Amino acid sequence: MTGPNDHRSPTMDSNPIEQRLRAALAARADQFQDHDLRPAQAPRTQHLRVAPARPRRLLVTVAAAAVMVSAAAGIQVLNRSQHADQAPSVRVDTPPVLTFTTRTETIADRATLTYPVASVSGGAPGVDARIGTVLNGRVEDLVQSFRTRIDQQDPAAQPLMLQITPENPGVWRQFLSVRLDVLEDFGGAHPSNSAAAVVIDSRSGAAVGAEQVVPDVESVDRLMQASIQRAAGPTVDAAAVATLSMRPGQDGTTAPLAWYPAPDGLHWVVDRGAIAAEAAGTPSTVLAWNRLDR
Amino acid sequence: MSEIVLTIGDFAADTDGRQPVRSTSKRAQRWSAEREEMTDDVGLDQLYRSHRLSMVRLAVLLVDDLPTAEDVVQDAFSKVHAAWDRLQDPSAAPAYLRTTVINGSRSVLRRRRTARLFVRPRVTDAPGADAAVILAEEHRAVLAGLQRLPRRQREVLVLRYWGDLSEQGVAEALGISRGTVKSTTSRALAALTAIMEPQR
Repeated sequence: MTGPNDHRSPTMDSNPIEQRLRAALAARADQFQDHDLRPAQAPRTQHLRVAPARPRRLLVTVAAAAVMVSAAAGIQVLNRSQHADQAPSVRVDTPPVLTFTTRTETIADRATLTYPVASVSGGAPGVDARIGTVLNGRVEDLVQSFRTRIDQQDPAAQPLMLQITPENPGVWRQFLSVRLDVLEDFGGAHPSNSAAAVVIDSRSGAAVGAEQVVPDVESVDRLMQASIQRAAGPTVDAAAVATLSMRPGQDGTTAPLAWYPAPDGLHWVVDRGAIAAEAAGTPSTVLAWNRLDR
Repeated sequence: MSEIVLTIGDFAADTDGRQPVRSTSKRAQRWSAEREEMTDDVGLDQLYRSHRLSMVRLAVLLVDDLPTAEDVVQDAFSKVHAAWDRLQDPSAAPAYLRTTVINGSRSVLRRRRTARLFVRPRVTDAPGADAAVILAEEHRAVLAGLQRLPRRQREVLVLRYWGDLSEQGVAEALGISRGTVKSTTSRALAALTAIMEPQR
């Protein structure tokens, strides 16, 4: 039970609530030790010695030259901070900005669909356009799948609903992830939750497969299955879990599994209905990168 | 039609952080030059090694999750690194770092509040694969109560009862008066007691 400056004793607290508070804070803080933190080191200086009056002009010149070179080469320039290479995860200081516009449409008064349409700015135009195409393509696939299933529903069914909500888990290395939480209501006892994820190489704008993120997909799949099994509880169907993989299946997706890299680790989300008898919820787990490296 | 803007890798700059004192004195310039020649990074490396864990713990107590806390702290070290030459006294670096961590945590909480207005909370019905050690029920109840307090009250309690800072230290870290620290602490403890009361 230690604070950073452990010179005060709990007995100095006259009030019981103070003692309880001190103990609780210490217990929470002590849950985290050095080995729990991801590998990182202090930011470092790159010695660029310039005359005092000229640094801005020099920076502008260098930046302009970089933009011209990148435009000529047709590649995206990712401006990183001086010490980004020493950061625990590679971050992009002037990253693409995703703007999601929510679109709502109604199909024959039977179904309401709410889904995001992404527009991307801030990066190289070609790359921005590709990121937008990949993202909107995945959303369109989900919407199309819902439209198809509408036609299979009883015409007298309650109003049906699809809602897709985007979430930004962040950037890990050059990988940009967008998680899409999907809520579908086909008039059953309760709506169903699932998730999809899009992982994009922010340098090229191309969709990324598991092989590009983890070195050994089969080994990581086994970790994922054990993790999902643990997270989903005892009622889970082990055989169904064993079929989950980060590699896409015949339909070109990894459904019912979604995976994505984020700064805090590799995330997996699974549609519970696909692996357990009771269909409520979307078990999700995350494995920290430093634990994945072991 | 509504718009949600997600800036990838958005780490907002401190808007309410106190800037280190910019020095123009000859002594400070000499100190700055000597330090630069000796190597800028040694001091920061030492600061990093000696304070990273405690700063992460502080950030965890404020933002309540480790990955975010690590990001906040790494950002804070980057800011200290950027401000290193402007620090008059290197012994002030830990205090500046602490204030930067607090401001970074505030930024995170502000962004979370904004995000909640637009994005449905994620459905998580299971712990992470690397779930941390389970806290005792007693501690969980206190920490849950702490999370319900207003931001400043929470900050004051964390700095006082985990950071072991004096009232003056808390005042300097948060940029408020000592009297405000005293009254905020008193109100925060009363509020926490009231929150905890039905659970006893």
